[in-house]
Amino acid sequence: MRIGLYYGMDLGTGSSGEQMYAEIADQVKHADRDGIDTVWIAETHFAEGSCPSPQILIPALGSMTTSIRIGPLKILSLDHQPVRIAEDFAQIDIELNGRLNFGVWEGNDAEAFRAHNQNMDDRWDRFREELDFIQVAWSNDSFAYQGEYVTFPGNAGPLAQGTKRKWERAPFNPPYKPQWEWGDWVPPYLAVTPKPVQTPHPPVYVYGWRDQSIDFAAAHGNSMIFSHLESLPRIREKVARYTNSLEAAGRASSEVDVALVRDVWVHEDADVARTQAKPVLEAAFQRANKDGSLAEAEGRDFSSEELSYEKLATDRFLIGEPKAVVDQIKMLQAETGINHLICRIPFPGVTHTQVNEFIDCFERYVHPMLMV
Amino acid sequence: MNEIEIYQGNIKIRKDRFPPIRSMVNTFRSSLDSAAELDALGVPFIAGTAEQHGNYDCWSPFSLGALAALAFTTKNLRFQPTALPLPQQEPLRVAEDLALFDVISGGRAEGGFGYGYCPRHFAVTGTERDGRAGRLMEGMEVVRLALSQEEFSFSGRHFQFDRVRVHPRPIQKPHPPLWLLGGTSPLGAKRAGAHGFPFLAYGMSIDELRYASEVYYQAASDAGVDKSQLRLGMGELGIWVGRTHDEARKYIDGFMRGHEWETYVSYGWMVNDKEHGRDQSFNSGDYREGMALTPAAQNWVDSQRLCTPDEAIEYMQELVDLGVTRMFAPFGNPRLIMQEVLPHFIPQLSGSLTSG
Repeated sequence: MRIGLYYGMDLGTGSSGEQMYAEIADQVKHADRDGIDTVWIAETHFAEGSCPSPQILIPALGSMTTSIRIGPLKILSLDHQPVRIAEDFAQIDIELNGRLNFGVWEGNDAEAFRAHNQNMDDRWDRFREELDFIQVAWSNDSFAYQGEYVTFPGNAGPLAQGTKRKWERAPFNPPYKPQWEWGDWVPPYLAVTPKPVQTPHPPVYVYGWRDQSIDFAAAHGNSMIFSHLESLPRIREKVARYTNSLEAAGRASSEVDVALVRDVWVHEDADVARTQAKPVLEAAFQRANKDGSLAEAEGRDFSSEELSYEKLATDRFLIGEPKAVVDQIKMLQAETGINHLICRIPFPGVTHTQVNEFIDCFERYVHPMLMV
Repeated sequence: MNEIEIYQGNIKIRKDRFPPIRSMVNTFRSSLDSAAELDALGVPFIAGTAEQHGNYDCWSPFSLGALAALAFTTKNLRFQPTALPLPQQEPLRVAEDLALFDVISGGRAEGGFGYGYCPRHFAVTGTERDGRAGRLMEGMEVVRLALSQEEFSFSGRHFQFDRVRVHPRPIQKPHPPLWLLGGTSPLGAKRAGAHGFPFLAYGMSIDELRYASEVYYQAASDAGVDKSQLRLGMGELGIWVGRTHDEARKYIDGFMRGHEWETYVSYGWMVNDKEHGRDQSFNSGDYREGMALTPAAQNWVDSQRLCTPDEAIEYMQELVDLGVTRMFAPFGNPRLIMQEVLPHFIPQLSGSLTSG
């Protein structure tokens, strides 16, 4: 079982600005030293505690770590220039020496789409095409792409007749002329540089809860990250859909990670763990209910009674003393087939010292017990 | 003497075509280590990196991302792209990148924006070369508003934004410095002055810079810009430092077989520039030491000044007397420059470096 950390909206412990990011840096350094496998930085916008640019934070975390794999949850369809995403994250993979996990989704923050002058209605179609373009850009030299939303390069003409894909590689027209002799000539096929370290490209993780996300990820051999908002029965269904779709697409389970984000908190005293977690998680789920993301993920509305800690904890949280949390994780693994648990910590109200103690406790007691 | 800031500690993402050939990961790591050594001196050098798109040598397409690698591991260095071609990007995205970078670096990030020059870069990014000056100035206004206002709206010819609030808020107030890297023409100086941006000249002679600075301050005065917003800087100085002039010439020969020659001097703003005209013969081809250069290439070489340390100090002092408060370090013998030239302008360096 791989273990990761997740930083979403309300990234930190209630501190803000420079202190919040200094704490995150220290926690990630701690996690790297202790053997946590991955850390994920979600892209969020326009509110206190948001991180609009994982592509800025990830290089900063990368240069102070050596083993931990780092990835964004990048909202592809918010960006106007998918070529910039391809370039940025190829460079970041070099800066991390091949430790980038490329997490993406289509987004659901209406305010972010409005402010960025992007249409939410076609975000799924743009997401699919942009992800296709980025992977082509990473794994090919000079090429041209003509899609409904993406044209590359800017001076690309129509593709050759008979091309069923949205792209084609540059034909060879002898004699070869190296780029430094081009002057101001610009051919209609260009390369996106640099290339990432990982070949053919960094592993792609699709985040989300919609059936189309699951089917898309399975068909393309992309790993899947399921959301902390979904209850255990829903996760069971979704993972089953994913693995069935993988089989139907002729893809092997060895190509992919099946990851799940969960609220996790471990303390040697179970009562202390629950006391620390309860007010924060109740507030977080009330917020998710208010902004509609909980209803969208679960496919139904929630009453206020259902948002109590006790009700939510039955099939969402992994909170308690180490042995109990290990049992819960093993049960989760057996019932759903996940092989990558992403811990959604820290959250406001918990101190930075307590977060590092959690990481120590998790790596000392929980992770070793999860080994086969 | 005013405090003079020097650019040192460039972060390198690239694949060299000429020796020393190293993996890109090693080149990057090595440049981080060098920057960390500079940071340990306690002097606020400006670490920078240029930005290129679709280059054969894989030069960094993401200048802020390269510099961000130093955000948590340094304390003194300041960071400024040299330059980020803003007409090739979406300005709100750049503003968000810069805001976050300023926060995680503890208030040490700066913007450094240029026009862009190479048609290929515009093709890669899907933007238009024509009209880039307008996109640059509007883009810089958007970035300034996004970083200085809790909520902003903007309606221009190229960009429109409605009620946008960028978070996190940058540490530096009213916003991080936003430099316009203005190319070789006084037009850049005029635009920077009229909009109240610090101006970094590039590749100008002393006389050209003197004229550009007059244009800069006059444009600022005409526009009613507060003088506290104005600063003058100088990019590549065009001077090469060696113990002797012969030693300095060896460094020019090395330069002419590398990225800067092939990417900027041979191709760039001297060729495909309406003011200078186009000369195909200026292209470098495969330069070999000692081979005859084209007239335009020879012109560039002849315009470079070979200097001893004292001559370099004299030239740089002329720039300081003109009002330049930030400049690139000269090219040439790096140890000589750090030990004998820069301490004249950065007193903290004296005695902090071992000789030999």
